[in-house]
Amino acid sequence: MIGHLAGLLGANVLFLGAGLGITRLLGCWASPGAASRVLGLSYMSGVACITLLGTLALVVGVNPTVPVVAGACVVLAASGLARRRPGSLPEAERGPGRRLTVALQAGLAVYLAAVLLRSVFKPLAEWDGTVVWALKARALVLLGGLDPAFFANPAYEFSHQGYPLFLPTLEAIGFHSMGSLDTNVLHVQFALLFVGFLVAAGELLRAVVPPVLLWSSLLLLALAPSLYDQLLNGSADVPLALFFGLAAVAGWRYVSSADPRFLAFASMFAAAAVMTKREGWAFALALALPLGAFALRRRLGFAWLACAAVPLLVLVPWLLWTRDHHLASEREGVLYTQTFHPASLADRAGRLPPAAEELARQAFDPRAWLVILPLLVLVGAAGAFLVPALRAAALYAAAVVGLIFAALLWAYWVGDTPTVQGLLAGSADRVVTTGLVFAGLFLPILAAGLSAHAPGAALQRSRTR
Amino acid sequence: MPLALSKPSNAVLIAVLLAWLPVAVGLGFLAWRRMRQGLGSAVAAVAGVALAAVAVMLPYQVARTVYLAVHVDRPLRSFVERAPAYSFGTLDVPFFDRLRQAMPPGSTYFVAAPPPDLAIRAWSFYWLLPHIAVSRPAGADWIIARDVDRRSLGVRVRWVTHGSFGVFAGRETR
Repeated sequence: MIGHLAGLLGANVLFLGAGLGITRLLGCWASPGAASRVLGLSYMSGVACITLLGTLALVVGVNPTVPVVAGACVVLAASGLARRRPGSLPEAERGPGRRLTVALQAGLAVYLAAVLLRSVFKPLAEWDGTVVWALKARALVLLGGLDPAFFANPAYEFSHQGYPLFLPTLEAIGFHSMGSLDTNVLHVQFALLFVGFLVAAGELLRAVVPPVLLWSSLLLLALAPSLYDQLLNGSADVPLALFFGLAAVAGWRYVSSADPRFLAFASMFAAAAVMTKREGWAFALALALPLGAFALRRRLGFAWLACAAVPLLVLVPWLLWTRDHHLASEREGVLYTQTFHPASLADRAGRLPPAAEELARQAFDPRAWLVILPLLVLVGAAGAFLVPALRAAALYAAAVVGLIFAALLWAYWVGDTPTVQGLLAGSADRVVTTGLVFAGLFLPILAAGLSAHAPGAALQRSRTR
Repeated sequence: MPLALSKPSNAVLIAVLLAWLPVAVGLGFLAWRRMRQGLGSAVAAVAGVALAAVAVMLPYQVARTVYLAVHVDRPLRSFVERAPAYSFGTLDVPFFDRLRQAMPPGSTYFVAAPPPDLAIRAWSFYWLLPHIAVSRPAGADWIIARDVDRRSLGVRVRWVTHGSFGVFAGRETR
């Protein structure tokens, strides 16, 4: 097991190296000290880029074995040298409660250490994690790549063949690096993604959120029971939510600061989300539409289109492959638009109320998501009505969350099961994850907006500068 | 076994929760009082609520992680890669090990089982890789069957092995 763990950690060090090259190329750091302040973003960028390249390589017949992945990581790491005058991301503003912040960070570290420890020992035993995701990763390794005998074989229809291959590719890279199909140690990859996500979120938000608010909010999100329960079950809902959450926050940082580096992060993480699960494209649209609207309103030009174009570019080769190989089940198509017939939709309108009710129940359930969504609604509404400068952020958050839930309702509306109740019972608790992770990340942004207008806040900031 | 790793009774859990809740709420209130000067009352309240929830959840989640690792993960861990088969339900796991050994490289198979029996299909597909499943019995090198009339498959099969829970495997004779 130690050898397997070392192999998987080695692959993740390579991801980090590749990501450091990407973040330097984007102008996020120039010195080792500055690099240490973007480690989370670098790691998540490395995982996203290398795995996306892996999915593209599979389509053209290249298997992401250790030499291929290591070569790609070295190239991306070296790409950072192309940047002559790298800058740095905006620095954190100091705020009150420094000791409390340290205590919160220590609490998060203890919790993450427990999660990491469990991830080393947890066996894979869940249905989706096994027969949808790990099955494909095993096939990628044992069959030497994207073999149509498996991936376009009608016998394997129930493993959702139309789903994009980001997660199986990441798992296959893990298997290759371990030199084994060890599904116990593979959970470490999910735990590392979680750690990387939290650090990256802290790096994206620290310039606009006071530290004590930032870390209490991140810890609140990290401790959400539903997120914890899904984290180590080997399915794609949490990776999708993590990448989408980072993309959406980076998108907001772009429209609020006009800094194109954030747009690059948003595009990259949105592409990873799109390639992780079938509903990823709908979520990316739920991000691109508000992003575009705010970018145009703030006269930022059409650069925001990258946030839609990059995910589409990485998705198209997979769509072409599925089309070329006549995937067995049409309903598994990535865009799930095959059932778009007005008459059929009208007949199925009765599916919408129970779907809406169940999604809302899951999202507001404190046993699953604590107080994240109620707090976001409360703070967003208060901000929108009381603080004019907060209206844009509140509107952006409402638009993203609203469009995500609209996309989910659409999926339940056109779903192919005879009744919607069965579909809801097996999925509603998981599919709300992306919206809730976004809500958890946006909560401190909105709350910090309230603080920026509090009478004491200006005084405190002037003292701490 | 250490006390901390055995499952506490519901009464103990409720008692701990009732004792801890006021502490958590108090921590949230203290945080709000200390931070409202610097952050403003509204945002300090948000941070205070978040902190109270964190104070409740952090010890719970850490203890739960340890509990799950010891009581749920450790027993399943002895099955290593075969853990999914044991969690899927009634499967004769050693039967599939024997079958994987018996199948020559490159041979294909067909799983004949009634549609609700997903477990046998899922575990065959997962465990028998790199052997490839086919969607019709005709042409498959091997047939794996459970709860079906084996004569209705429409192919001649020499049944070579069988396991618990009514599962059979055989080679198609052409």
